[in-house]
Parts: sequence; structure tokens; C-alpha cells
Amino acid sequence: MNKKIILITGILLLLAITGCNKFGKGGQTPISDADLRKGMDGLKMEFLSNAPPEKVFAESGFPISLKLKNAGASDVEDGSGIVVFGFEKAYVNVPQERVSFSVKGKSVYAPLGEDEFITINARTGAIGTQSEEHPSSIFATACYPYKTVLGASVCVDPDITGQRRGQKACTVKDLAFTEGQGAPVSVTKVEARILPQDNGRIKPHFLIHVKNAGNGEVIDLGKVESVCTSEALNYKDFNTLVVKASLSGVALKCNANEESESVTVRLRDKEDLIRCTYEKDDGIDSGVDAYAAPLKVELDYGYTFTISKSIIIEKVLTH
Amino acid sequence: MAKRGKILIITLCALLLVFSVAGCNKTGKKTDGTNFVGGPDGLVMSFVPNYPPGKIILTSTNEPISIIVEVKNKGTYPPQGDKFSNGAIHLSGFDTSIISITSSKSIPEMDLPAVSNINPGGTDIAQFDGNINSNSIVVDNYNPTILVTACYPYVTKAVSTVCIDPEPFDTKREKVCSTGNQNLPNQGAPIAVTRIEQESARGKIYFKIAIKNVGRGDVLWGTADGVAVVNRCNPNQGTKLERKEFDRVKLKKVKMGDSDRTTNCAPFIDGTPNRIGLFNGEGFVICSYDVPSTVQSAYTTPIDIELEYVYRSTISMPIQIKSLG
Repeated sequence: MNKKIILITGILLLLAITGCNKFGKGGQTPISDADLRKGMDGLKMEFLSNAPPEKVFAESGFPISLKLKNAGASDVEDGSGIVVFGFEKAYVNVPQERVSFSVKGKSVYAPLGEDEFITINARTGAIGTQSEEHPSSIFATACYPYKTVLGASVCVDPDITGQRRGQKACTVKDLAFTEGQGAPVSVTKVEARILPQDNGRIKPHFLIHVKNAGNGEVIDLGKVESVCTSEALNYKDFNTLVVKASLSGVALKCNANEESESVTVRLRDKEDLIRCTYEKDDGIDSGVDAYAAPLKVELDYGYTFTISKSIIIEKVLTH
Repeated sequence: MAKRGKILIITLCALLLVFSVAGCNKTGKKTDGTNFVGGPDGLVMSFVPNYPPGKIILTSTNEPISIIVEVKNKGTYPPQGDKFSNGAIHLSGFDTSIISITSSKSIPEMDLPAVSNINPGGTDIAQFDGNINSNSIVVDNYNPTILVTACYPYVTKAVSTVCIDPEPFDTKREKVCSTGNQNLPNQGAPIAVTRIEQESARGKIYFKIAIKNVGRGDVLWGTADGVAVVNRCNPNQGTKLERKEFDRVKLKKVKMGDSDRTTNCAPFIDGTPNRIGLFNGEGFVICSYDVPSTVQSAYTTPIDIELEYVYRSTISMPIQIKSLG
């Protein structure tokens, strides 16, 4: 009977040890497996708790603190990001309405992105003699340049009709990207086509679907500063982004009329579609076998969004 | 309790006995050199583990990459002492502007003797060394599938015994053999003669020789030197293999005893005197044999069949090339 108990205990112990070993390894992801270009966030911004406080006394100072987190995969560099504060000027006085910032995005060394804090000291003014308190709001609007980069391996298969015998390295197919690229504007789908040419060559052709999946507005890259000031804006300054694509490092032609490598597109209902074609050397030799080639799509734009917090300005009652 | 213990001991003893008997059988088995039967393969390739590695993290501008393929000749060609007259192993599936690598290796330069009673077949390696040009990888992850394609001439030799009966319909006479059908085992080649069917008429015997692609690749029209088609097998060459070059096998020889019957065979395709077409990997040819009038009684004679072709087989391995930026 005792032997049985010892045997069972031994087996259980063995199981427990092997189990522990297994669990110990769980959850570890190799550094290189961290997918940085994932998600639909760019810059995230929030007021720190009690800055501003929910209730502030009239004619007194109070802090406004913002936490900026770059949860995307691009950097906001060289002070190119701007935060502008909005408030009721009759009741709140902010000495510095506009603050520039830089914050790095996700990288292998900071896989969650980096943080930046902005703190300013504001001051409330007097409220009406008939009022004991006055509700107000503090707004913070961020304007920043950002970039979406999609990298994918696409198949270049000159055998369009599938007549060639034998195993192929890959097949041409549409690619869907549902998880974003670590930026508020994302490439949601790439439709791949191979266009046959008369000269025995083929031209890879791509239909690139883009979408503003973030909670803000896309703005023209050149108007980032203007949007965060009181400058007049044109409707064309919104929903405008610049698209650039390359296959195997060769720039694709994304605009039928212009020779430029990049094309400016306007989002309609937050979405658009761009057509890009491989034009170098009149295409690729149709005699080669299917192979995987790197497709890179870059979207350059400005982005803006606003957050707010309500405060109550209370009068200091002396009686 | 004691009874239970006894049962346990008996069960354990029985199990031990079963294991030891099975083990003895395995170790005691001797290979009989005369019973050699070939398999369905010619050259068989496999990647040497970690060449290439499944994941490559780029650390320099020109990251070295090695692809090593182990090649085994599991078939019965070429004849003893000979080497492959032609053939090559090619790499493809990747962007050549990113991976610069020697993309072809010559098979004749490899030591790949055929399988025989005394030789389990030659094994050699094909090593491809090159560099990954990290400047050309404009994306974080580049995921190509490396294809290794071997293209080589091969020969199937099938030998069997058939019955030559001058009076096939005379059932009253005692005979040493009777005409009939026979299935053949694989001949140590990817194209096999699978069956010989015999149909007799007075003074004439017809042999239907069935052949099949029993390997894991494609068969192409080509002769033993196979130069033209082997060169065009190169996926990076830029010249396509035509549909009509596939599924064609050359009937090189059909010999019965001393009599060469190759010219007495049909049907052939593409207007040629020796090209057998395969459909869904299978084909046949019918050869006739005129029984000499001097033959009075049935006798057995060897039938010697030789098929010539070019064989193409492919293996693949997906790899991941990562740039840590």
C-alpha cells in the first residue's frame, strides 16, 4: 500500500516538474517576433488625473498635464508635433496655449512606444457675482505628422493562366490587413494583379485600399501647424495624404498623369483606393518562375484629434 | 491481493516476451542481396536542417546565407561506374535583387552512384552560398519560399520473363509456361513499368507494357544527355517549358531474348517513332512478337525494357527574413 502511494506521489511530482518547466517558458516572445507595425493607433493623449482637477477655485492656479503616448510605429520628431489648448478665455488663463513635442513610436527597444508629458500651469479668473460655480471645459488638440508603412511579401507570377506545370513558390492573391500597421491610417487590403504585355513581359499591378481607422482627422502634411492655429483652412486641407509604393525597391507608378513617384489622394468617407503599376523596363520578363517580392506602401499625412475635460470653477465662499 | 499481484507479474512477463520476440525478429533479420527491389524514386532531395534557417535576422548589409540540399540517388541509374551525363539543381522563389546566390549546381559533378545490391545509393550535398542584400529589403519582413528544383535525365530498366507459346489455344499439351498478365515491382526509378499484359494470336504475341509516373515529380521528354530540356528546366533562365514537353517518355529498347522489338511497338505520339505519352501519369505501348515458325513448344524468354526521360522534382521551404531596423 505504501509503495503505491510512493509511486503515485513520484509520478505527480514528475508531472509537476515537467509542467513547471513548460509554463516557465510560456509567454516569452523572441525580440524579433514583436510585430511593431500592428494596431490602428498613432498618438494617444489623455489628461492626467487631477490635472486639471474636476473642481478648481476661482482666481487660483491649477495644473494641466497631458500624457502623450506614441502607440504607433512612426516617430514624431524634431518638435513637429503640436498640442494646442482650448478654454473659455473669460474664465481660464493659460500662459502657453501651444506646446511643441517629440515622441518616439514603437521600436524593438521600446515595443510599446514612448511617452511624453506636457504640464502647464493655468489660472482661473473670477466668476460672476451671482454664481457660486461655473462649469467649463479644457480642450487639448494634437496635430502631428505621421507615416504608415506597410511591408508585405507579394507574389509575382508571370504564369497568369496557370499553364505551367510543377510546384510554384507562391500564387498571386489579394492580401487583407485587418490589424493595421501601427498608425491611424491603415492599408486594409492590397489586390494584386499581373497584367500581360505584348512584348513578352508582365506588369504587376496593385489596388491599394486605405482607410482612416483612427479617431481623428487626416490633414495635409503641409498644414499640420496651420490646423493647430487659428489660420483659415481649405476643405482640401483635410483627408489628404501622400502615397508612395515600391516593389523590390522599384518605385511603382501610382498616378497615370504624373511622373512623380508619389501621388496625393483624398479620402472620401475616410477611405480611398490607389492603383499602382510596376513600369520599370516595361515590366518583368514573363519567362521567370513565380517568386516572392517585397511590396512597400508608404502613406504620409498629418493627423489631428481633440480630447477634453470638464471642470467646475468654484467661488471661494467667505461667509 | 496476492492473486492480483500474480496477474500483474504474468502480464509483465508476457509483455516482456512480446517485446523481446519483436526485437529479436528485427535484429535477426538479414538482408538478402539477391532480393533487391528498387523503389519509386530517382534523386531525392531534402534540406539540411538550418540551411537555410527558418528565420534570418539581418545584422549586416550583406548577410550571408547558405542553402544546403542533401541529394540521394535512390534509383538504379546511372550504370555502375558512370556518372550523370547531365542535370542540374536550381534555386528559385525569391527576389534575386535581395538574395544574390549561385542558383544552379551541376548534377554530373556530384557523386551519386545508383542503388545496387551492394550499394544503398549515393548521397551528396549541393551547397549554395550567397548574400542577402539588406539594403534591398525595404520591408520589415520578407517571406519568400525557397524552391529547389532538380532536373536530370534518368533511365528505367525493367526485366521480366514472358512466355512464348506458338500454340496458345492448345490446352491439351503440357507446357512449361502459359501466357498471362504480370504486375512488376518498382524498378528503382520514378517511371516504372507496372504491368505486362500478354495477348496471343496464332504465330503472334502482343505485349501491352503499362508505364506509370510513380515518383513525386514531373516527367519531361528528353534523352540521356537531356541537354536541351535540362537547360530549360532552370526557373531563372527565362525560357518556358512547353506543355507538350511534359508527360513524354522515350521507349529506348524492348528486347525479347536476342530480338529487338522496339520498331514493332505502337502507339507513339507527336509523330515520333518512340515517344510514349502519359495521361494522368500513366501510359502504355503495345509491342508485337512474331513467333518463328520453327518454334514448336512454349518457352520462357526474358523481356528487357528501357525507358529514357528527364525527371523534374521540387522541394520547398518557406523562410522569414527579418530586419530589426
